Amino acid sequence: VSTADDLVGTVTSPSLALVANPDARPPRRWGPLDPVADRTALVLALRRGDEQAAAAFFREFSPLVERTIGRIVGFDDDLPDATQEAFLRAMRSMDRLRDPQALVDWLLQIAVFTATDWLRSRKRRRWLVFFDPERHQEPAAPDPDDAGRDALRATYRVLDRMSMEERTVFALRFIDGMELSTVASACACSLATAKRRLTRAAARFHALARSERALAPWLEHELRIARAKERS
Amino acid sequence: MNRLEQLGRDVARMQDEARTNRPGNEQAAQSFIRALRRSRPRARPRWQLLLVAAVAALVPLAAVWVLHGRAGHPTASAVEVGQSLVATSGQSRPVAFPDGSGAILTPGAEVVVRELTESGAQVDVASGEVSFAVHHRDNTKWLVGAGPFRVHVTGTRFAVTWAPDRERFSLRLSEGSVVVSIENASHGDVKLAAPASLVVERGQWQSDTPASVASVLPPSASPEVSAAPTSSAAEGNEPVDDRGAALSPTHAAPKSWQDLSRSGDYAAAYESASKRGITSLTETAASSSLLTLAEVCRFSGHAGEAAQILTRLRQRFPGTDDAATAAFELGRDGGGASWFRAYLAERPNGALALEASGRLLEALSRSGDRAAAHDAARAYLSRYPNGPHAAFARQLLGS
Repeated sequence: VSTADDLVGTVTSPSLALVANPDARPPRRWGPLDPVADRTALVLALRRGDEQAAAAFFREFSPLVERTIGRIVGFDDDLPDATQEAFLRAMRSMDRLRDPQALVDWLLQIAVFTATDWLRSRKRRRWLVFFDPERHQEPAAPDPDDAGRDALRATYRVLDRMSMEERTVFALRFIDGMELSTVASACACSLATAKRRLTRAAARFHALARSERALAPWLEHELRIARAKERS
Repeated sequence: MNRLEQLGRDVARMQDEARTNRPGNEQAAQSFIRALRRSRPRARPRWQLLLVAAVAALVPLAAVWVLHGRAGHPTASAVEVGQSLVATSGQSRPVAFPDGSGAILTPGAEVVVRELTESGAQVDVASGEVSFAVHHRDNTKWLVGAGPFRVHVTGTRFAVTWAPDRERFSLRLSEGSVVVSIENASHGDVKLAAPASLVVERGQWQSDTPASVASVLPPSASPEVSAAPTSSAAEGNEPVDDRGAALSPTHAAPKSWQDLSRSGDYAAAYESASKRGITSLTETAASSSLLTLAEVCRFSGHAGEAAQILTRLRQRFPGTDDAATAAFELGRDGGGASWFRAYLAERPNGALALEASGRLLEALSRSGDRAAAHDAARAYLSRYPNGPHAAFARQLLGS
């Protein structure tokens, strides 16, 4: 039983700013901007199995979903497949979305749970084919900055050693830059829980990152503070 | 902006730059629609699907509910392989397993999920008390580890407590039967049937189990017990191994690798640990035991294994005192200045800070990195002007 399938539909109020137009009629044809204009009509059409609405839904939100999954799993050649999987889960569960205005929060939850399932699957694949642990972190496109690329790899190497919960809140808050309330909504937890997880994740990241030289330029400040305390 | 936010922003920028070379959104949308068509469910009575889903969802939750005995507790969380689960202080934590079994972590307890299958799981209790309700099936395969102890289960309710600092293992069995195997136990495994309890603290055994329901199996016996919970009458009443004895209030256990290490017989300790499996111990033992195990390896001439154990310790227990000590040990074993720096960064006022600062000077001097050696020498003299390496530091600075 998919974790995401279990948890979807739990969003009861939107935390992201949405553009709602309750007076709009459901359009007959779906263009790229229609879903933004009328979430209720979009959700009704998706529940009916309207393929044009589904395509518009995907076009509109796939960058957000792919980016969210990518922040959590790191760079992966299979990222488009994971994105598609998230949308297929969303379509399967559309009947359980209570408030169409919460569509984006709900979709983010699905993206997060798809990402964590994807990470579990990747771990299994590594065991099966002796997967190179660094391969998936290599950006496909050439990076102009070798130090930056090393830092990117090192960051996800550290995240690989953290628990799924810590990894998720860290990636969403620090890498994606989400507001904490949105992180809590995406992780289907309370704000207080999200704060606790984030505090724990940041401390753990600091502790684990000390062995990563590529991250020293970012974390050297903390090390200097520690040395200064030591001198005093 | 704090440093983590800056790092995260830079990582995000690099990811976004790499993503700009992706195929177009329209192509992906068409692919999604094709996948959507393929995924549409075939005609099948909807009530059947709902029924199966409901049963699948309820079974593990029911196990947790039975364990808790009443409503009003936190919702059970699902588990994943490799996950470390901790019950924060003041609140127990229910956990549901895919096979329908459940567990409750008492406040402060920690477990690590090693394996999950449709018919069972392997869970290590790192510390604290954890109650289990294992769902019985014909092919149930459940294993609960606690330090050197292994509890083999087929369907039962019991609680395991492990205190690594005191090397205290306890088991309270309320239903069914279990087999407890112990690292390096020459007398064989211990079979218990409910109701029973067992306590082993630093090699001293205590049990309030009636002799009629506890037995010691021969070393060659399979640790598996019969599938159904067994009655006491079905159990062997007397020891079947002539080296063993029915559990009595006190019973001396054979020497473990820890005992041998304490007595200074490192070669025998290494041999004993090898029988248990160095790799297995590295993955399951408490951090303090891993430091001892690394010492055993080093003193018995297996420095490579010692380094592996210490490295793994730092991965499993990051941020702890023992992880910092492991860094120091790695540096002392020839790992170089970076390990002493790691120790000093993690424990600037730790018990080994003076020693690590001095050894850092030596390592940097050997490496020929004069600038770094000078910096370290100045830092050393600033903090320890009369320290054991002060003369060496002044020599490095040429004063």
